[in-house]
Amino acid sequence: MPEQLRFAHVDARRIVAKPAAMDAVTWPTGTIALRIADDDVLLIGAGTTDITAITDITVADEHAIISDDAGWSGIWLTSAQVESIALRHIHWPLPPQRPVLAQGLIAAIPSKLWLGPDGDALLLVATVSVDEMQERLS
Amino acid sequence: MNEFVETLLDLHWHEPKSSYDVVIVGGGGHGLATAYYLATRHGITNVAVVEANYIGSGNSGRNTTIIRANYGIPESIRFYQHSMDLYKTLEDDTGCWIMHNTKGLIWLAHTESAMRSERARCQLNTAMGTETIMVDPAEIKQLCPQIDLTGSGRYPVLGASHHVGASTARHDRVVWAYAQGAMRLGVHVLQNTPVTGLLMDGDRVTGVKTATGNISAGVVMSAVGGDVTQFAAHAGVRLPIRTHPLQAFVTNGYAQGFGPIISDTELLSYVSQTARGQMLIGAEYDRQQSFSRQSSFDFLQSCATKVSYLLPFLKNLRIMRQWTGRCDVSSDFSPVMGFTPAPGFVITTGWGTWGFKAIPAGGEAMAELIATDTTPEIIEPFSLNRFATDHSMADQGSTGTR
Amino acid sequence: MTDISDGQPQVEVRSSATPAGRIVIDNQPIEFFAGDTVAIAAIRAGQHPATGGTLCLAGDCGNCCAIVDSTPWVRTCQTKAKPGLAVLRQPAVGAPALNLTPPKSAVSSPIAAVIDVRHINADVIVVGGGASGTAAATQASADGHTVTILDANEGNEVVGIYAGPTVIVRTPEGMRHFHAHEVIVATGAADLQPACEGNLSKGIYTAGAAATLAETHIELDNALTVTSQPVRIVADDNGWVSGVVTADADGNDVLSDCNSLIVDLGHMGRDLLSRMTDERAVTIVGPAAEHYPLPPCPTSGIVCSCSKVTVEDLDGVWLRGFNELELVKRAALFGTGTCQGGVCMPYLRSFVADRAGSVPEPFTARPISRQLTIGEASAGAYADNFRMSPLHDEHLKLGAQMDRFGGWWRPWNYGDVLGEYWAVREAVSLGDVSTLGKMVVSGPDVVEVLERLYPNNVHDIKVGRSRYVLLLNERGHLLDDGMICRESETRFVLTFTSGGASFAEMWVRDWVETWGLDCHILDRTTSLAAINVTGPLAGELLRRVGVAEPPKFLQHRHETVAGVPCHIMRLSFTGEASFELHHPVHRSVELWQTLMAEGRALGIKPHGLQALFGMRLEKGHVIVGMDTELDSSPRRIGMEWAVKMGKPYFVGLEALKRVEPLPDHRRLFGFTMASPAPVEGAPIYHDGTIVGHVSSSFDSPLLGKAVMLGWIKREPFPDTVTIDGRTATVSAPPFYDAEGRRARA
Ligand SMILES: Cc1cc2nc3c(=O)[nH]c(=O)nc-3n(C[C@H](O)[C@H](O)[C@H](O)COP(=O)(O)OP(=O)(O)OC[C@H]3O[C@@H](n4cnc5c(N)ncnc54)[C@H](O)[C@@H]3O)c2cc1C
Ligand code: FES
Repeated sequence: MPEQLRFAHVDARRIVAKPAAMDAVTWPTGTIALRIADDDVLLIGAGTTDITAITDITVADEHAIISDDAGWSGIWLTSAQVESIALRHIHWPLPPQRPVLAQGLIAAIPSKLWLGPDGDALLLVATVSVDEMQERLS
Repeated sequence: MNEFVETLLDLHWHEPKSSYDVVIVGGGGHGLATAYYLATRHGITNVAVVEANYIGSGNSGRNTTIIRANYGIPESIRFYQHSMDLYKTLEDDTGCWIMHNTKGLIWLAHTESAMRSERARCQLNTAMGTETIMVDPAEIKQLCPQIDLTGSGRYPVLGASHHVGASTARHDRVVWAYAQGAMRLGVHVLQNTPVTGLLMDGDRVTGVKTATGNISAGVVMSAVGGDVTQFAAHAGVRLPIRTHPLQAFVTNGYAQGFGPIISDTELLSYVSQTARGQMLIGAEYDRQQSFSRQSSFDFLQSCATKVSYLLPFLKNLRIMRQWTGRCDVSSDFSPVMGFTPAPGFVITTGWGTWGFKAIPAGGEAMAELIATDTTPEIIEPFSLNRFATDHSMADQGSTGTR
Repeated sequence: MTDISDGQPQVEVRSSATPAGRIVIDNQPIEFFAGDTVAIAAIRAGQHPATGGTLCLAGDCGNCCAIVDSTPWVRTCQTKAKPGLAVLRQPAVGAPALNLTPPKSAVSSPIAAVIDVRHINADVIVVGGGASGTAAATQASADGHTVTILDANEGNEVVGIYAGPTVIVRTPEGMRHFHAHEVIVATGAADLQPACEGNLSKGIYTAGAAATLAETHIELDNALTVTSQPVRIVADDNGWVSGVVTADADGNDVLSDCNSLIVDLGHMGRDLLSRMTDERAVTIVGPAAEHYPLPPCPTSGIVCSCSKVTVEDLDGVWLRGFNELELVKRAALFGTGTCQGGVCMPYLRSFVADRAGSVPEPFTARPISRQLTIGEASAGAYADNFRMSPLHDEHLKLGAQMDRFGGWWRPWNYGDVLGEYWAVREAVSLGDVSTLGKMVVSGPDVVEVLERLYPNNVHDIKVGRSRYVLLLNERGHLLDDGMICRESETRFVLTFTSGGASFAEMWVRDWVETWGLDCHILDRTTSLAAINVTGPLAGELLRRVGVAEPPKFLQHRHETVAGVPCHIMRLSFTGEASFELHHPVHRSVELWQTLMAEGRALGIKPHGLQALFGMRLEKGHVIVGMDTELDSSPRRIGMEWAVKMGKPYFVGLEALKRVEPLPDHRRLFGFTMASPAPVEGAPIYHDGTIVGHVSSSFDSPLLGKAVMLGWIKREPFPDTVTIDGRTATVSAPPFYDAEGRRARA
């Protein structure tokens, strides 16, 4: 029986801007920029970084949408945990490179899986679906 | 010896001619029933039904055979109720055993909004003379002891509408019954004869092209099922139809023990037991449009999951086979029957995932339309020109599946 | 129950090994040896695993099916014997009972992974580990591929190959779904079964089965091998083979005694798996792909043992005009049993070839092969994903009855619908509207985008103001409705209905993409929760939690409420002054609790959907999907005011222009009548005929009568109608506060 996974709220900022402008940004240290689409970044804090304290994000796009994004819950997983979840709940091959963001259905729920450089991974799911996710993964 | 082996029917095939009064393209239920009623009701027998493969090779031989009239708009209820009535006497009319079996249909509701829709359905059905009543969980349990009223703790049953007169019949036998009846009166049924194009005189359709030669006709009727958009294009007729695959599966056979047809308004899946004892299970059509008949594991998996919540005993039954039909779904989820802008070319389509039940009434009305050159009142609301005149017949809640 | 173990000396076991345990067949314990399948254990014990029929021991036919651990139709030759396994024979005639009591494991929620499922990404899969499979695997490896061989004998039963290619495998440990690049089917050839009288006897084995038994050190007693179709198989009173009649060179019948019959009649390629899919990455090799000669046309006996179809049956339908392989199959129900034609197909083809004079193609192979239980098929799947507002637990604490609506759990009521109603009408109330669709759009072309998306004007919405809008499809029919709030010249916030939100997101993105306009989109539906503060004291409550000057009607602004950053939108669905507070999901509970606490003195109560539906009906507000139909145009629902036909373009404009001059006889009307309110859906009559139906109804506590919306679909539109046998009056909504003073107050 796999262990009970406990997700927690993840503070994040969301930046929607022109792809070229996005490419040019150097994201603040201590953050992880999850490029969920060409024009869309979900920025989260790595380690102890408080992402809500980082307010000086600038993108060369006057129409960029930069906002807090409070809708995510996440859990850090070991590579063994990722493997076990992948085996049971992911129908698609995980990308081989690291670090990398993988997106798709996990246990039939839209999810984001950031596979970090050291084998650790962050699984993100919309908070409105987190109860379902926890039940399905345990 | 298998008790279900066909022992009564006799199909008399004819050599093709080069000209007929009426050529019906498509040897599915609708094409053959139209030929049957042309011959029996109107004495029109110089008719050919031209079928690309074997009769019933389309959706008419692939469906889950549910016959019901619990629709959501008066025009549909009236039409399907009439079809149900024709089904009841079809065995006497044709002298064939179609395995018609009245078992009742239960549409389960798990939410307040679903309850609201089912109550509304009961109201309108009753007003139109179709018996559909609300039943509470205890009554549902009585009608179907296998049901888990908690929906495995996830889909609690609040109630259901019970369409008392719903029935099933064996699809192939319906096709054959009509074929036999029509062929006995001299209708020609030509198998393995794909129609590759239409003969035109200006915008008038005057016959069909086949690999073995042209066949001229006074009237050409399209009853080609899921291929209709491409087919009607031969006559320059554009249709508000999309083709979607619809899949279903059956288990091995079991002793009779599952009375009604159980259907779920939220999970959009349905279960019945066939005369041979197999559990027959279906769900919604595939979301993407396609002309493919490839079955998918996604469907099998999701459909198996859906039906297991309410009928957990099914989990132990073995699936024997899975298959796919191609459904002609109209933009308002109602059928399209009647004349087209091309003179000499009439159609019956838009049967989507629900046209088996309509075979008798559809065939009867199309035969009358061809014989009298006027649209019978009962199918008037379903004319193709309703889209041009902004009179669409939307009834998605009743037709999204089955 | 038939006693099968009747003392016939069927087999002789030559093994020094000791039994590994016992299984129970029809309540009789029998011993099995390590590695035995149930079928082999039965044979070892001198029994037939079922009630008769040739055994192939290779999973091809359906003759060894039994009820194993309460699952009927299990091929015992593919099931490993385990201590205590309970096997019941199925009736020889008829079918096993439908299980009324679900197996223990299945009682728990299907959500729980009862059957383990694994997704394995693979390069090349070879199905079948025989000679051709091994050769194909060696070749693929040499070509640099990583190869996985799946063989039923190793416990990997491949049951289906689907597009992808996806290979579905049953193993004793659970289901395995292989997502492969390429699949090579090397399933070899199956033995032909005898098709003659007496072929349902016990003690008949294919040559392959006999070889398998020899490997298992089971020697068949007094066995005879035939290499051509027997004329007849003779059995004793217990159904065991006692002899076989064959034709000699002169065509004379010769009876030979035997206790076991081995039939060696040739082969057929096991090609079902590869024929089930169109997938191009699936190839077939070796004997599986070979076209073996068809057997001679059968002349007697059962030809399809799964469906019990005889040669007479075939002739019967053939002579009555069923003159196609498919028609014969369907009329005789041939090949529609457990093996799905897997072993009987050659006979049907040779029958039709004989009668018709040309060899027909085999009929379509349909998945699934080797049968899955519905439980096995469903393993690892979920039907829905119900979303939960962050306030879910708050609602439960307040005694809410929750209901699912538009894919979300929502409070239906808190046990006191009337109290909830009066709280809104006379004091203040909270509604959880977190489920609304919410989107930010920003960019130089944003006004152009919105002007094209919505039929109402957008350019003249002032910053800080909002407007109610309809969303139409290309047919000019209603898709959704919502609000547009202007935040700056180039930035707007859009809202959509709860049920329409996910569709709306795709809709907006698709159109922006299609038009190639410059506009960013951020969907905030699940990032922001929203609480509707509504009622005559709503403004007062906001002041008490620190909003000095609440926005005026149709204004919106960003402001901190009780310490929580909010986007406050002033609008009204209930008919009273309403402020929607959109705020970060993770701050929702504290905001709700503060509002509830501060509102106590004002008589606050939360309201559920049930009260809301009634209140909005008093105001005549339409709920898309409830009052509207698939083909509702703005004029049909009396909302032409929200459509500016003079605009150069919006989605649906062309369709609306086309139908504008056409006569239309469908309208949504308001009605009132004496209480009680008729059931929603009740037919509306005029002059004794049905002219429409009630789409929503409510007994208005305030007005003391029933108010309704409903469709009339026949002209001329009457002034009075009959509903529920009573007279109702057509009356234009709103039924309450027609001037909208309360909403603006
Ligand atoms: C899985 C499934 C389940 C269903 N369940 C139900 C149900 O429970 N209840 C219900 O009422 N309905 C159901 N339906 C729908 C029902 O089967 C169909 O609506 C109905 O059979 C349509 O009959 P038809 O005669 O119009 O078309 P078909 O039966 O499809 O016949 C069309 C025929 O035209 C032939 N054809 C096509 N092109 C040409 C050509 N160019 N030349 C010659 N011939 C051509 C085809 O070969 C075919 O035989 C279901 C459908 C499917 C696929
Ligand atoms: S022998 Fe199995 S289906 Fe015919």
